[in-house]
Amino acid sequence: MILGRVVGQVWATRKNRWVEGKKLLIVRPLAWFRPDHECGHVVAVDPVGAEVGQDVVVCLGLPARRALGDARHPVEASIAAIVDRVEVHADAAADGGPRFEFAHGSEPSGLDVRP
Amino acid sequence: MILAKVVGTVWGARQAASLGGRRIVEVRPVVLGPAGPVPHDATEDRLADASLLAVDPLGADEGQLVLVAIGSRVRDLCLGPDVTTKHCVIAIVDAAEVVEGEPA
Repeated sequence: MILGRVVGQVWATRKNRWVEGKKLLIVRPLAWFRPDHECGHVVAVDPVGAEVGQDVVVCLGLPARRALGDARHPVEASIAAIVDRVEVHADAAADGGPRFEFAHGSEPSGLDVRP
Repeated sequence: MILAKVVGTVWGARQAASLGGRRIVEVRPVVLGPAGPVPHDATEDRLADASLLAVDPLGADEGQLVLVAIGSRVRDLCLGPDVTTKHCVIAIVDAAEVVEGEPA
């Protein structure tokens, strides 16, 4: 799963029948996401009713299909949750690993950094 | 899934039997630029340097924005398990509006 912010919506008339009537949202990842191609976004099916500007958890792969109620949807990303609050512990990288940072200099809303 | 723009069509006289003459398009992923408070369409964003080939059962034209689903399971579900690709066009995009809204 990845954390991201909804920045847009996609409309399509001609589409695979499994995505008929599904809301498609453009999500900009806020933390780890390493697609095979440079793109800076992921498009996810939205079964929960997220809106532009909200931070969401995006589910990838098989769980993304299961979350839509039928694993035969030919998609690999769906929105699993709308985020209210994110808590990050400042000393989580005390073992010498890189300090956790959010991408693009943007932080999720409701971020709470614990000492 | 990712947004990508169709930049060409690929024809091959000799091809894997499992492709069965399916339409193959060359697409370049959209690199989502910074979004402002004024909505813009993703077609205005730049394209990635890299291109990839996707099987297109919907018949997208050059210049159109498409939604490309990625992965072998998606391929199984969209085209069938024997088709030699991991990229499948699952929608032809009419509009893709991008805006950096205020977090609710």
